Amino acid sequence: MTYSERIAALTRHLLVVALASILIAAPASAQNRAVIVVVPDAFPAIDARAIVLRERDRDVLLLPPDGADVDALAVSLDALRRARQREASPSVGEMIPITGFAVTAEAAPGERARLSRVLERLERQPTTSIGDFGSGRWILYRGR
Amino acid sequence: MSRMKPPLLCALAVLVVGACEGPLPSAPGAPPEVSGPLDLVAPRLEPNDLTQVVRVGREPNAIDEAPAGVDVGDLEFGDDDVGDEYFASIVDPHTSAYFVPGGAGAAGRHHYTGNVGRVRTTAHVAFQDMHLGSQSSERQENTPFLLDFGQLKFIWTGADVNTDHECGLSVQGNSVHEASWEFFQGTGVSAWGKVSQSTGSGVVRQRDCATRTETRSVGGSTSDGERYLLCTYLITYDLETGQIYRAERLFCSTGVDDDLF
Repeated sequence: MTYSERIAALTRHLLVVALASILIAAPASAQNRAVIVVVPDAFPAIDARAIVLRERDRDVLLLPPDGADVDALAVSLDALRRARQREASPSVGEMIPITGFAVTAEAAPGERARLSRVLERLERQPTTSIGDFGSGRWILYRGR
Repeated sequence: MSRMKPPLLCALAVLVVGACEGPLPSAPGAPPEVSGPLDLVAPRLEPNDLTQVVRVGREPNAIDEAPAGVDVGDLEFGDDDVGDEYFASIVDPHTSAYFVPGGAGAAGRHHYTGNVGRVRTTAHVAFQDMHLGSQSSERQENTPFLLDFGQLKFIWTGADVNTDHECGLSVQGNSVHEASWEFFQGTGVSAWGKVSQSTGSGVVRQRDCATRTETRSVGGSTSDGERYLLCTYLITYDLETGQIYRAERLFCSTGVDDDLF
């Protein structure tokens, strides 16, 4: 291998390392932010059917203990979807109380059953501390 | 050069796969699989944080501003008005509801005597008579006690909701109207002669949604992800302390589908 060929090879290696470093260090995009579904024992004193909380690297869906149903979970996911369109990763906290909703089109087949299974898994989780919201249950939402 | 390709490709594949590994559990901030404590920070929301509040000092001879179409002329104290014309009084209190391009709301107004006037109005939004949300607005104006001279003054406020929905919505408003005399205007200290009255508007409606397709496609998309008309607030806060930065007014929207999950 000539000297110039070795320089070229080294340059290619360095470019690959640099590219990989950029990819690994990139801030969490909307699609790899964790989504956590939480049912606190005591829901915040806001007139809301559900609340979406957005932090720097995760999104949290707060469902009321007496209203943690498929509709509440579905509208929370919908509200989160819209929030991510507006801002993929906010730099400050965002709280999005959903004060009300109306169904304007039927859900895709099987989706309600899938969300129902998510809530069943959540119900089986142990009660634990959830920071400023006191105690409750939570689960990681795994999407489709 | 051909001898360099396999190691180069392997290195690239390893690094790219490592960078593009799925979001769980390696995504930053992702909690472990087993349920443990969560360190959530709650925004420190006070009851009035979602109300648009304005408190102003008013010059004794200020020209009254009014919403378009409202006459702020001379008014006579009538039999239905509250108070005493020599103390604080409320004259012609009224609430109206309305739709405008890109929004809906309710306005509350009244004339008053007394050096402190206050009106709080709430707009209630519904879809096909199902309540979706409410937005409140409050305005207080105070005049220096010694310079008031019992003038009849006008006050109003508007509670506005943003919406991009064009059919099926209705809005109704209600207001609490107040007037009083206060030595230390606007503080509630040494207040007397306070009077209060409530009013409500009729229901104002958009046109009915003609078809299910129209209901679904109002937001501009006919995809099956567009399932809900949502009313939400947006509150931004400090992630360390929970201190509220800003609370946006109520927004009702059908949104568009973008499969991010």
